[in-house]
Amino acid sequence: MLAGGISLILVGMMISNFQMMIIGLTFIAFISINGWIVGQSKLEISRFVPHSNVYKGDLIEVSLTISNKSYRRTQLLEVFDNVPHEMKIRRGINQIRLNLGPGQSTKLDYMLRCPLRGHYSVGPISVRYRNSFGLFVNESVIEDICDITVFPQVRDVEDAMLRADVPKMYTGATTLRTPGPGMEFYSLREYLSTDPIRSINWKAFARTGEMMVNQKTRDAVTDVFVILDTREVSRIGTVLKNPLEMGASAAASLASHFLKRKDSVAMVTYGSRMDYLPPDTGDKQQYKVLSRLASVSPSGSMPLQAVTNSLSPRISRGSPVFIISSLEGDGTTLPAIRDLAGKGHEVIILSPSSVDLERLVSRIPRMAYEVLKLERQNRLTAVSGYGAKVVDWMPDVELSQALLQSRG
Amino acid sequence: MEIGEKKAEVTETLHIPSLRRKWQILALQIAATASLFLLLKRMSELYGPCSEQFIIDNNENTWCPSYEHTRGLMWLDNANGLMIPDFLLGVGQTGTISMIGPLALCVFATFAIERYWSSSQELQTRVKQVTGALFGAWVIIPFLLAWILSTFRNGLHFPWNSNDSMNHIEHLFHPLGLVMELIFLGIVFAPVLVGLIGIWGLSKRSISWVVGYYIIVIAFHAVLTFEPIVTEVDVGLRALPTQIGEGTLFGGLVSPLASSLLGIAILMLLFMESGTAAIGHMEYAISLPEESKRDPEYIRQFNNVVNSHLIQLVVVVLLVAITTAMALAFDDLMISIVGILEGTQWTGQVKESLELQMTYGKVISAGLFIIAVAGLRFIVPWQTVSGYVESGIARLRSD
Repeated sequence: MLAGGISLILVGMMISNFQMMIIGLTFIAFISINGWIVGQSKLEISRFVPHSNVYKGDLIEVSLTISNKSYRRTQLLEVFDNVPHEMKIRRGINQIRLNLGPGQSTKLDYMLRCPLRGHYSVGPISVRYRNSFGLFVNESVIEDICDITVFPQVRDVEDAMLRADVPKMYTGATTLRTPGPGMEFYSLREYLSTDPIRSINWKAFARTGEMMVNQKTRDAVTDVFVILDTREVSRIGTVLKNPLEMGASAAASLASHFLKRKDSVAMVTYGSRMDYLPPDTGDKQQYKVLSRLASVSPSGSMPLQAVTNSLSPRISRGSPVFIISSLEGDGTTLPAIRDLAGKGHEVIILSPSSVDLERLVSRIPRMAYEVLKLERQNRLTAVSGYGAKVVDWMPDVELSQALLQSRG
Repeated sequence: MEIGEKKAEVTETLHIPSLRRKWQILALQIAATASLFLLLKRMSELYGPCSEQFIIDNNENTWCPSYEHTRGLMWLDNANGLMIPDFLLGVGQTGTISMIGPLALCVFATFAIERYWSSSQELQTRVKQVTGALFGAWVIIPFLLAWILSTFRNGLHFPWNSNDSMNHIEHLFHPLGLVMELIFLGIVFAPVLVGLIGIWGLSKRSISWVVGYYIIVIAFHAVLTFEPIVTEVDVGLRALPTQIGEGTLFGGLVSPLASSLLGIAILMLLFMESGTAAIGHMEYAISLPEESKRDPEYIRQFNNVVNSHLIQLVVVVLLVAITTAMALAFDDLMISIVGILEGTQWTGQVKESLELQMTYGKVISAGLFIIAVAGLRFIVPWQTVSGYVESGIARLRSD
């Protein structure tokens, strides 16, 4: 409009035409007068999100309260709450056009769906203010950020675990023959300065003349090790359906199942590096496991044997080990599983079928598919030959159903 | 009372059919339509007549390329006759009355075009096919009938002949007469038709097109009446005066000519702003999801925005008119101020300066005034004052 106004004035002056000059002057006067109407963004905006931790597929209700605490009208204001593109708006909309008088306030409600696990931030809030005629636009950002963690989906696998051909030794508070906090007597040992006085066995002291303490059997619980493959190859498939997504959900479900039974769960993820979450029990551990699983992304190509070698001193004797991996592109799978099985661990492999997942995104010729499938079957058979229970997990099969298919 | 209000809020939604009946949107659309009609009237009054010399040389009804439709149609009438009835074309009438028929045609055409656009693709195709077929039949059938009938009377012959009774080619060109009539009508009324389509059919592009069209008409008129051009080619257009004249209206603020010219500029602005505003608000409403269209908060804020827009439109357009009028008279004010400081050679020179009152001086002084007005916003805290007033009123109401 400014350029048009100036052009009209100049052309009008060139050909001595008052009409063009007056139209040009009117346009410029319009801009000048509009300059008097300035919006402002001195607003109080608060966001309320009832839950900052949700499970994949859950809905989050976001509520923004916008208040104009100043003594000036806001003029035309557009408030836009920045939502991560991974989240989908399910109800309402994350923006509003408003004009608040002094002291007025309004509320913006919308609902988000979280189809992908991960750590996300809702915000900052973008505010664009201008006058009614769309001139003199100004933008500002209110740094109100709300962090949301989307955990992988946790499936109920209780029935499947009971019926499946997986070890039944870890049914809750089974005693491990290792010393630790618990109720049952384990052995006597010499008193150390760090031992509590009440643990002193006074009878033994009277009998032997040496300070002895009662050692208890560790009251828990089995250490369940869950190893999740997060290598680059676990990206195969769609965004929502790939070995990593299936694996994360399976790991979360298994961990949740065992933690509920008061077992101790350790979580290991490996891809570009190995991340180890030591075994522990309780809700806190569940939160740690879910948080860890929320943040995993496919990268790297670490071999499984490097992981098992590194872990073997930490894995308690007899602890079952769940390996969740597509078993693709890793020549060390067989020796790694052989080593674990050789050390007496129950190894259960949950293997999302990457061949079938790849079919979801690209057309594989029938012959090639058959060959790839055969290769995979051979690999799984070889693994099961070392005593591991193997589950060939097809993309359209639920975790609980898949667990029932375990074969040794 | 409160429950009643809440119920009323819930029944109000931001769906387009509901918005089309909303008084604020209607007010914007009616303001745009009225300004479009007034703009046409003003343009016809100012750019419609031919030059006095042209009328003396020819006569009042001779066609010149001015912004007026009846002269061209009368010329066509004299040549071949008119197909559209005179009352619809405004032929034989003068002034505003001559525009009523074509305006009615424009309103009808707008309604028809909007219905056409809102119909299904299948129906649109059918309408196109039927229209094409009818036009084709109109071109071919009279020609064939005349030729066949003539063949019975005069024997087998080609359709072109020096003998009029055996020449039928003219039938093929008969529909061209209607096209010519529409062209003559369209030169003046196309912006009204497109403007109406823009306002009521919600097309921002059409509204911009109308403003552009009027500016082009003004530019063409300016060029064709520019003195060096007129000395070479005089098409008979009446030139605008080179002097804007003494201010006699609104307390000596504006001259009659300046008032007319300013009127056109203000109407153009009002048409553009109110037309696009109605569309802009509806575009926003369309972009909202279904739940938000029913959300009382969104409805309340939409009303806030539209009400503010209406108030600002009225105030701003008034202020623009006053500012531009004052800007055009600012040179006189400067000369008057300098006149007070009598005694020096400089004041005498300035006082008698013609340049200051001629085109350049007027525009430069007007520009300075507008810049000063723009700068005043940093001094006058009107928004804070109006905010205090508004919050005071709100407090009084709540008490």
